[in-house]
Amino acid sequence: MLEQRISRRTFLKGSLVAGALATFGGMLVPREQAGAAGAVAPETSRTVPTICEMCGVKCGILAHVREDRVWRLTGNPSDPQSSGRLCARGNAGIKTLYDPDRLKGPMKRVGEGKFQPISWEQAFKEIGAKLQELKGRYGPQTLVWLAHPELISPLEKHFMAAFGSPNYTGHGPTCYSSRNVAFEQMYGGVPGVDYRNVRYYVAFGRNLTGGIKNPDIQKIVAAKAEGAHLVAVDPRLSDFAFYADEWLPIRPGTDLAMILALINVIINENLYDASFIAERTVGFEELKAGVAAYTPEWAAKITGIDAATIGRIARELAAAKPAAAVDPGWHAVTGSQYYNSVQTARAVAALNALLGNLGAKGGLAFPSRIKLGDPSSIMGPKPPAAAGPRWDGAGSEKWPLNKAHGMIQVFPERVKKDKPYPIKAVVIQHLNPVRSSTDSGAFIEALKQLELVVAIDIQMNDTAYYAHYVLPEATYLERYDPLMTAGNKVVLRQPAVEPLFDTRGAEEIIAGLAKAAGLSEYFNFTLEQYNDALLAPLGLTQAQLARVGVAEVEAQKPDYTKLKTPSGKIELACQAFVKAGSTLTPAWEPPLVEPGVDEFRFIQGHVPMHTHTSTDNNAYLHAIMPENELWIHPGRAGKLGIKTGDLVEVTSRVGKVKVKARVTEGIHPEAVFLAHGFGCGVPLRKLAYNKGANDSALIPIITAPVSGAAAQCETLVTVRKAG
Amino acid sequence: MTEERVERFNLAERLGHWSHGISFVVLLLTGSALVFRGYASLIGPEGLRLFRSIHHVMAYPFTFLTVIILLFGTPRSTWQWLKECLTWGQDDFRFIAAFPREFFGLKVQLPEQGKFNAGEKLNSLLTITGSILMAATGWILLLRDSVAPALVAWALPLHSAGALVMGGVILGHIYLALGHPNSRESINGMLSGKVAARFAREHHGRWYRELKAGEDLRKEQQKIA
Amino acid sequence: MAKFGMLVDLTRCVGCHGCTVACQARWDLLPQVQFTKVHRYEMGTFPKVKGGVVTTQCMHCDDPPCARVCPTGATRKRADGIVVVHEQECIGCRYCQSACPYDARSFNPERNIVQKCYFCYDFVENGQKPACVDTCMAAARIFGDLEDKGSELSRAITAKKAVQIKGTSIFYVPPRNLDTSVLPPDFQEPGAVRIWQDIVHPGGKTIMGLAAGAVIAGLVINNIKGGGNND
Repeated sequence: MLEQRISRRTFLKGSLVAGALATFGGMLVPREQAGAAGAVAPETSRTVPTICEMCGVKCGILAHVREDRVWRLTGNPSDPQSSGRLCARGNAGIKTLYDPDRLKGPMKRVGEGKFQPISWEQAFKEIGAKLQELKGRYGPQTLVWLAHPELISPLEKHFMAAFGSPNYTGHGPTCYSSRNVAFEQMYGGVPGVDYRNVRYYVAFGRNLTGGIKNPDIQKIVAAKAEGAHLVAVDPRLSDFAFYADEWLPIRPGTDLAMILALINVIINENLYDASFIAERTVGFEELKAGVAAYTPEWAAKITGIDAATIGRIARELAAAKPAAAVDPGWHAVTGSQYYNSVQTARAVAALNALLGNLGAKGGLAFPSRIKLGDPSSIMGPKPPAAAGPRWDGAGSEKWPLNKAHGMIQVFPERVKKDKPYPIKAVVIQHLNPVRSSTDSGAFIEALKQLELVVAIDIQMNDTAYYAHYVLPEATYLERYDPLMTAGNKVVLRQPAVEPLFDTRGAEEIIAGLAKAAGLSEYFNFTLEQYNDALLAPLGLTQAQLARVGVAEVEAQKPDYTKLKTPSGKIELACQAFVKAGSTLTPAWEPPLVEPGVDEFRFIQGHVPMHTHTSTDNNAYLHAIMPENELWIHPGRAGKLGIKTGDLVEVTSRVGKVKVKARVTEGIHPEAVFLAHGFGCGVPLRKLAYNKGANDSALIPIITAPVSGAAAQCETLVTVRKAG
Repeated sequence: MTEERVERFNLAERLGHWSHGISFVVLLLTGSALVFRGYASLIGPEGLRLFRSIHHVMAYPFTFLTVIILLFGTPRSTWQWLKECLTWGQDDFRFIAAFPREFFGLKVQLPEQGKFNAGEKLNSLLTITGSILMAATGWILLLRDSVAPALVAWALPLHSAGALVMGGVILGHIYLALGHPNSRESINGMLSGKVAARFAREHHGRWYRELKAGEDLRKEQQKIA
Repeated sequence: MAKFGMLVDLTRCVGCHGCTVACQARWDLLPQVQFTKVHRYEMGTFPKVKGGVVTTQCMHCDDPPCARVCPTGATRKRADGIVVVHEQECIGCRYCQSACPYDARSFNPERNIVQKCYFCYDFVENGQKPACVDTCMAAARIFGDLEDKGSELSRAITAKKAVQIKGTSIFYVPPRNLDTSVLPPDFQEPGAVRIWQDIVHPGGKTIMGLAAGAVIAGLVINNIKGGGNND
């Protein structure tokens, strides 16, 4: 109870003081500067020309550095691929360089998902000793080296040769093996497309604006602006189908039928380039006989694309020749998705030949070749011939056309069966086969059976997670690499900043392993010496090239009149395929599996803001697309009671995943689609962990004939609404 | 000579009034820096950031404290107060009509009033509705990320409007409570709780009579017991 | 004086998000803050489905409502047309976010400020292009001086028959397959902003002024009438 009466005056005075304090009190309390953007002294800024590694294209970039920190990445205007421009991944490279979850030092496994830091010396010592031990017990072929082909691959192959193992294995069968096998036999090599000048372009599954290739996009956009007609043939409304003039939603796995029908129409209506066929190809009559039954009506029944459209596309393609091209493709229907992918690629090769477009403006083209120096004189003695056949049989009697592409997807089967011999050690570099090869579960089981698993990577990916030793590579912004050629230019990757943490370039790591495994005589050279040797005939050194990053040099233009085939011409009919157990000319083969009434064909593909399984933890790219969703047609979704956003369970015969659904009109009712590259299983990668679903968990191990490629879309799944 | 005093407001009512008044004044002073550009430039971005923090903190007592004090501390008299504010008779309307002259100190005859004169009833109603508006729009702004953007966009002008209107009202209220010779005795009702009996008789006659009648009744009852 | 603007040719845009990330990288933005965004639209029923892409960003309006409502003046339109935010003066009140009719502004919870596309004014002052323009693989973005009839931008607007979003500095070549309703609408000051700035503020200040005046008048009159009863 207030006994005192506060006088009016006192109260007024009190209020004024309180008010004043409220108003001006802020100035009595010292506060730190809020977010002041400091001015940067220009002397501490520099620009380093180097090569991007956010995907496999390797665009030339400029790394902008301020006070020893890369703050911006732009395309290098002198680079023939980027021409000064970059995609989202290239721009996001700084978030990979500064990813808080990246590997910081060598580690040794001490339990499931548990690692302990060790020194490089200890790591090399233990790995070297183990390699020698296993070599002694099982022979050098017990070592398999799995890698995504990068600029470092010559040195990886050198290590394997020195070790005595024939088993350097790339990722080809999960990407382009079928295409390469087909074009190598028919054209002597895989040509690219002159996108800039094409007038009529058909892509079967090739998703130029999703499975991004920077230079190709720049060119196709310019071509379209000048009136080129673009056709996307794809079971789903892919990023390229979005952009193209026409989308033909083909029944998945049946592209081959449509291409054969196109060949049929062009031959029967005499729309092909007769002089090109006469002068630059062999086997036309056999091809003509081979496609006689493949009418548009026949193809319409199989593909769901009506005969009139097929006829029209054929005529329009032929009318635009030779500036007309059917994309050889990359990873899709001609690459590694179907059992009939080799036939599909052969058909594409034949169709392009009918258009007479090899070497023509707006058609197919081979790159120029630069004659580089031979560094073998500094790389030690000539390694002995490898002991025995490849672990996967590629290039053997059973797989004569597979040669260097390998068959990575059969790794779990071979490890399990010790066939053709025990595989006890694997080094995996710049690759994540647990999530990029097929049947993730089986691959993990295989890794667990090995006595030595060494992972070399910039991040703890799902495969490194099961390694005995994890060796952290420096990112592309922190290291040199062997020289790169692009057309008539040589391009150098060089560091923009010193390696962060305790990371090293791959060449140092490989040399360290070699020395510890008793192979030091093969690795007594530096990377600079290696590059200098390559550059020597061009009158350049690495140091000189480092100043500009890109240099134009003398290059040999391809001789289209003398291809690397037995006849020197395009082989429309190919005995090599017959010897490999296939047909003389491209022929129809149905897909391996057909979905039953309650099943779907599972298809996968790429998106423009991510690269395989390597960018899901990149903060900028993750923010744009943190997870994948299952695309499903509304009619079938309705029957299953599924709406967009619902959690669904997708089950194949080898695995099961849970993911959100996206109901869309943009997919064939027979198919469901997931973007590749999600469902990370490593808790350490905090942004990516458990986001979306891992497509490889659903895909069974299949080996397609002739190429030995995986057949990733020969996957049947059932879908049901999950809890 | 010590005058007779009568209790007008109990402790809970006074605490309720001051909890509301102080938080309101702080909110008004900190909030109006976002409306008056001159004021804003005077204190600068640093000062404004501090003001914003204070404003957000004061939102809690402004929204909850008064209501809790009144509902739990003095529910019956609060209920009485609300009933009175919503009960308007002839005398009330005539009071309002005559009040402008009274405000400016001009001679005028005011009809008899109860515990709360019509002006005070009006002030109470304006304060209650105004406070609900300010709290509602204010919390929409505080929780803007959980609320539809269109709602936030309209909450902004409504919050400003309410503040400016209430700001005008409080200027009058403070003047009448402290400055106007005929009403400034009422401040004591909010400080000690008691006002001079003469003031009560002259300005809240009906209330004073009811009070006295009640007192006499109680005295009578004691005698009998 | 220049008047800067930008043309986005949506018939060239491939929706790769390169612009989004180039901008984030050069301004060191938080991953969830995107100054320019890519939107995809699908229309039709299987098998006849088409798609299109639209990019959006700050429109650098002729009469920006964000600048009107900013209590500190941190957001303002420069003489060359670029609407900037002086980040040190921003107190994070987010009025501008509500006032923007194009949802082009982003709140940065770490620095407690609101940010938006700045047309890379620092690059532009050095004769370079904004980061989004520089990086675009499809060469879909053109930036320049609208008042210079010979500039690449002005010539492109004419040649491509680009559509201006009226009241702003942004032009589009609309995507082929979509209706122009997918583009940002012509500028219109939001009703809430107009009522707030044109009615509530002046009206409210008048009310307070009148109340203050009445109080002073009352005090004066009462004091003249002889000191009043001090009780």
